[in-house]
Amino acid sequence: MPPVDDAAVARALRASAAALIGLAAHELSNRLAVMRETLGLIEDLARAGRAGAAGTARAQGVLDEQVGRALNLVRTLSGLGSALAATAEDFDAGACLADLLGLAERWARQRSLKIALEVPGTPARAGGDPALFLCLAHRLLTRSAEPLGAGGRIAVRVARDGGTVRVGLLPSGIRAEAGESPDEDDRKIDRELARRLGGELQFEQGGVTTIRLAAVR
Amino acid sequence: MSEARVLIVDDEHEFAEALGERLRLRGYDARAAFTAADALAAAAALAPDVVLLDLNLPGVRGVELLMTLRRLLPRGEIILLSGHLDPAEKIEGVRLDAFGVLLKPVEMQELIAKIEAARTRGLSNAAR
Repeated sequence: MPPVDDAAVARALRASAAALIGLAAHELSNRLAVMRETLGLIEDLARAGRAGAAGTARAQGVLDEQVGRALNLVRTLSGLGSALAATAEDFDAGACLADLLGLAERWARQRSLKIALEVPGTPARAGGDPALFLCLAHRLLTRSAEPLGAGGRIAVRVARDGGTVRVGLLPSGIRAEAGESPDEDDRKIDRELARRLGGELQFEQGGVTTIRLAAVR
Repeated sequence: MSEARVLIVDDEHEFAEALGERLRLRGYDARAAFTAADALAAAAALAPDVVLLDLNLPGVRGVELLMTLRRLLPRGEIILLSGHLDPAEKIEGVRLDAFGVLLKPVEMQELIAKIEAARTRGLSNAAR
């Protein structure tokens, strides 16, 4: 099998980073749009002499809720920023995936998919560059969703087993007409990302994918 | 001119409701729909003059919904209003004769101007 060159890996990293930035920008613009519209409504009600109306109290509640959601997004982005720091040499797989899935929430909702993350009680730290892990997880998650119909589900399970951190993606609800036609070039890049993380990747029947990484304390 | 009927199609409930209330305060007959199915039912029942459509609704390709609304509302105009538009979707939307594209958040003055321009075109098309 011909090796995957650095340029292909760099392209994969850029594509995932661009997709995550796009998801964050989309979500943030939605929060800002709701806040802007809600503030406008409060002003309009005041101008119409209805400042004390029930609508105003409701609008203020909406503002509080939206600010909370925007702050959560900022925390998620901050977590991703730390994970992507050039100096990072290991990472908590569960925390990285929580940040990734936080950003992917709307993406999943638009596809009528449910994504459930199961993490162990204690951090499952693995060695390697977290940027590579995020890129690999993003690629696998995106492709796991492709054959799923509305109402499909992906369970993402993180487990620590002795010296290994195991991350499993288990999709269910695959459309009957969706054939198994994995793109071998994509899989080669996925395997290379896992190799560069010091781990390995296993593709199983039913779209199940498992990443095995060396655990660190 | 009678009050214009505006249908807001957006799965961000709070956004659609606040915008609907603001448009009603300005004299529009504005309603909100949060899903594609609700949008089609509301379009059939209300025959809105203008639809403000977010293409990023759950479980449906936005461009397909735009096409269906176009068929359902030959005299209505559709304005795409989205927090994020894929350039390909924007091009496709314009090709499918959406009246315009606005990015959220949008200034009320700009939105009203667009709604009025869309309504004028809809009335003029209906008169032909």
